[in-house]
Amino acid sequence: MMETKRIKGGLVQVLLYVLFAIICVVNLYPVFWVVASSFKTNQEFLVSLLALPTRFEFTNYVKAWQESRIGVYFFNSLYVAILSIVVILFLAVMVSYALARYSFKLRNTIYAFFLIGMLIPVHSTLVPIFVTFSSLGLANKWFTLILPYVGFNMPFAIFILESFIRTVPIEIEEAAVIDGCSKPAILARIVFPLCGPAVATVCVMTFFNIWNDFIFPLILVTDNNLKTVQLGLQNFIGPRSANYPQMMAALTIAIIPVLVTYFVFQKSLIQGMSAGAVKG
Amino acid sequence: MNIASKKNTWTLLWLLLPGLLVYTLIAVVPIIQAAYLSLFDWNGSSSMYFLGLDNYREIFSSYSDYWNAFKNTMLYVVFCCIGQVGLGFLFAVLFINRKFRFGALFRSALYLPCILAPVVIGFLGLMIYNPRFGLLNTLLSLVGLEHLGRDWLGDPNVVIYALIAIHIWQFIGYYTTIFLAAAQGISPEILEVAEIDGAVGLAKTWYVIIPLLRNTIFVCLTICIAGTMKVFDQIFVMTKGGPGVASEVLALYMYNNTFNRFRYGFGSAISIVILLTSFVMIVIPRWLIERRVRSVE
Repeated sequence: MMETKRIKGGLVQVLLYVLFAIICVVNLYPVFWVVASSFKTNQEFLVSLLALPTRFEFTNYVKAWQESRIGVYFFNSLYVAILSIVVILFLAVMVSYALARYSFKLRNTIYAFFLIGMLIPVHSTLVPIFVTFSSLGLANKWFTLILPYVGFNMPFAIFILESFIRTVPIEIEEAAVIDGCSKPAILARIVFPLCGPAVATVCVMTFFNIWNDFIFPLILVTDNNLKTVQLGLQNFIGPRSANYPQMMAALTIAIIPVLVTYFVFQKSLIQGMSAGAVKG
Repeated sequence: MNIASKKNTWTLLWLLLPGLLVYTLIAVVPIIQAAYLSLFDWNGSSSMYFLGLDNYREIFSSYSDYWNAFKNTMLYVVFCCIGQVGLGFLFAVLFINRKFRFGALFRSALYLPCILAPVVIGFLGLMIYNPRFGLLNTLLSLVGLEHLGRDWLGDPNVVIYALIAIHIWQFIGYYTTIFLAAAQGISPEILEVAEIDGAVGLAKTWYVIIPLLRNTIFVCLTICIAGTMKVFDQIFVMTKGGPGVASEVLALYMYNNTFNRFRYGFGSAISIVILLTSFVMIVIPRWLIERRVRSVE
């Protein structure tokens, strides 16, 4: 009896390891394939799709970076993302602090008003945003993309920061008030630093959203010098795209920042992703 | 600190106003604007022509492509709820409370596809489904199933399922991760007691794990529906809604009408329909579930 149970348990364990291996392969192989193919010549790629590259050829990267202008797009994306995150944090910390620390009549209404933003389908705002931006001359400017990114990423930031500020003991602030600290100074020098983990989560999640976004550059940016990576990749669709390895190199460049952020901040990311869902 | 004084009110105002203003102007006002524009016929440059509700009549008329896009979106929603949340839950149940070697590798592998940009996923899809240089057809012929190979994105009967499959693949790990995180909140004692009482396998899942994770399941379904209603980028990259309109979903239907045919009024009307559809899809299931739960209790 014990014996069969142990064998059965062992068998289950083996089957789980098989499933585990299958999931790993299915999830990792396509990405690995893109990176591996990016080092091949077009000739090599067309002869055998699956063969590994025989040597590391970086010409594809150089060409993608310079000729296909992925380098320019890369820094555009980075710049838009960083600037947006700074503005989001600035605004969201203030709002979250007000919502967490003050009780006033409209508090719940305002909180709900912000949270609804997480459910607004971005696509139902595109036509008016396009029309407004074009008519006010806000399209194709250095700050164009920052506006929608700030607006649409603020609800998540407020959601995370508000619940975190609630867990920070208020006594620290009270001590600061007694010491004659002004409100802006309390926010900047006490509340903000104490929110470290929540700020990290907001930064990582927002960076992913902005880096990966495609729809806002698609409708608001036509200036080739302001395009972001996701929009720039579109150059590889169509008749000129015969060079697959160069495209793979461009894709790899587009993935790298996300991958690096992922591995550095894995913990905050998974916390952020599951925070809302697990708490319900 | 909560004493309402004049000074406090001012502080409150300057804390809230900037954020509230930016958010309202960018995320909320456009919806009102869309509702207004939806009553007009307008190509963006010439004068606007008031139509009343004619745009909506056209959307819901039998000859419009709306119903095709609606059907495709619903296919997405149904298959993704089953494939992503369902399979994600199944994987989580299998791996709950098990010690693994390479656990960290497993978690990374699970999550990796979720962080890739939809555009990148679209390019991956192009490379997987390419009839001549595609990964899928190459693998099929490698295992002797060459006859199953086809132009996955060129066949109007297959294309939508090919697109859905990629989307399911991308997000299974997301839901598995969420369920695993939620399951950490279940104390091992509860599961052990359940096993001693004879609840193993299916019974344990059905009577112990599902009730304990009920809230998480609902939230996952909500996230899944909301996320699937927004699918756009990867389809734009892979097929642009084609061949014909075979893979057009609601968001693409809106985009094609607005930005390719310059029908801003009509596009706005579709936007409003998308907004209401998402609202109904997200709110009504929650409401039904909550009502049932209350009546059970």
